[in-house]
Amino acid sequence: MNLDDETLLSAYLDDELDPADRLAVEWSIESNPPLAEQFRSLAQARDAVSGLPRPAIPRDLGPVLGARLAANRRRERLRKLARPAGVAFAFSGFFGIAASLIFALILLNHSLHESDKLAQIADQPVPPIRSHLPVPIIKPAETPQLASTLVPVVPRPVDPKNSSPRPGSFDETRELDARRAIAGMLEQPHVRRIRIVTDVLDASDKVKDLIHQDARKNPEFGRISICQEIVIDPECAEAAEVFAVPMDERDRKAFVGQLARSFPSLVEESDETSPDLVTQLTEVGQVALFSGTKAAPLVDPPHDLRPFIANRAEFPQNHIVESNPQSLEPGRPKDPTDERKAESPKLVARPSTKLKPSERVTVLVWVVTRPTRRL
Amino acid sequence: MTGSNDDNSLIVACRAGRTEAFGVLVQRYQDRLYPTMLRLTGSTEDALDLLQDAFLRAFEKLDKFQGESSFYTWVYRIAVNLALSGRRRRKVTLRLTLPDHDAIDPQDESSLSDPTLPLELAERDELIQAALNALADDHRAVVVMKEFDGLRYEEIASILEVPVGTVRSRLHRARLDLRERLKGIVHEDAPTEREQPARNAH
Repeated sequence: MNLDDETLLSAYLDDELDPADRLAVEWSIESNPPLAEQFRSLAQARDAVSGLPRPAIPRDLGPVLGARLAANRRRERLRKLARPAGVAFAFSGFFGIAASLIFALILLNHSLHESDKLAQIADQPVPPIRSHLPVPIIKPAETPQLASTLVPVVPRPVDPKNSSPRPGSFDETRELDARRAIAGMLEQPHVRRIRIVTDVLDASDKVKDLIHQDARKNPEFGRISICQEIVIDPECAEAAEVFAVPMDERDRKAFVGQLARSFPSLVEESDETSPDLVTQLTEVGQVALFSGTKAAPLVDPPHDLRPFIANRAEFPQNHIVESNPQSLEPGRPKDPTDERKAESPKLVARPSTKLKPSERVTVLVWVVTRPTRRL
Repeated sequence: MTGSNDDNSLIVACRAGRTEAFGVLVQRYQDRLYPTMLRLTGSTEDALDLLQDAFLRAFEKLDKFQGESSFYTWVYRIAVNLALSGRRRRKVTLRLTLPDHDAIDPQDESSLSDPTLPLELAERDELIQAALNALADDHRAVVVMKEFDGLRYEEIASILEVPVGTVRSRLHRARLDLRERLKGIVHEDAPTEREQPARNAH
């Protein structure tokens, strides 16, 4: 190849050369077949990228940005109010200990083999699943047997006039039930991933950004630490189930620490973005479950596959578990009918000519901590 | 593009504290910026996240906007640099992945391509995006700005604050890399759409 600087080829392709260099490149290409071939392949690489589609934005950012801007303003106001000279520390103790955890449980996997075994196992009783995952959030005095089912708390409508904190209104029974619920979820055999996002007010800026800047759609977001209302996004009002799990900061740290100790090779920090959260909690101590980008109840796996799941066995070959794709694809352009479909995601086993490595059913669990009452 | 006069009046309103004016700017440019962010990040959610961060940063720094470029160009620059910089907020996420030998990361790649396209084309687009994703960040940024947005070398150099020669060499190396990664995807024997230099198209 007799072109001293091969980058000239790209520059020629982009019409970024002066006339003299352009002539030199053209001469080189004409007289040098390998160089001509290289030029051609570069053009193909260029065309491949430039030919990529330009999809429309799947949702308007205006409401989210509005909420984030409003939250920022609120935070600034709180900061100004909450930190007169000399009492900054005490005040931050009051407002500052609210935190939330998001667990994203990605359920159900699902590629597996041995279809002939399916029929044999399908009728067997499902043995109880014992997770080796500790549940440190449960205090000794409250540690009855862990429930394996979830305990829904019916979401209440928002009363904007009554959004101030109601310390003391916390229901200890619900607290216990909710902790059991979390424990139960952790015992689900088909849970594959738990994502925990910690939001702590008045912690580092990085974490504070989370609570104020996450992609929530409701402009009331930001009251999460001091409100008692549940705000369900109107786009998915019917699809949310809300669970209560109170944690204070100490509990949260213990819980996360336990996870990290129990699964040292599995727990990691990452910068994954959270899915589009369509339900928003503002009551301290609540958890909502989501499936994909749509809030949805947990779904049970198909009956005939439960034995495989329970035994953490592989599914029969040529069967995959398929979730309702309408409800599970983040970022999918909204179809008005999607919302209704999302309310009841279905899992079905269907024949497949090729194994899919995984199917996605995401369940997000929000854990919002209780403000500590040390003042 | 909508007239910069319009943008200027909105920016003045934003500076006066009228955030709804900023909403108009977001509405005006989000559609145009999104595809670039999608190609830069490789995922719908990351692209939306990045775009949000860029707009938010733009709002916060609006006082520093001198009007030397258009508002669009300014936000574009912010977004690209956010994508490249480590300053972007990193979510503190603890992820617990239960053992699953064949689990894959559930990226929403399905939404990267147009669902109305024939499957083969959609798959091809996804493979091209995967090749893009595999590039080094700074190479991918140059490729996206050049191939996807059609910026000139000087414009790219200005956005990235690097010499034009750096843009040229990054782009060339990125194309060589892409060429290798796309072997078997792009048809070697097919004539390219633009086999002649781009000047012919201008």
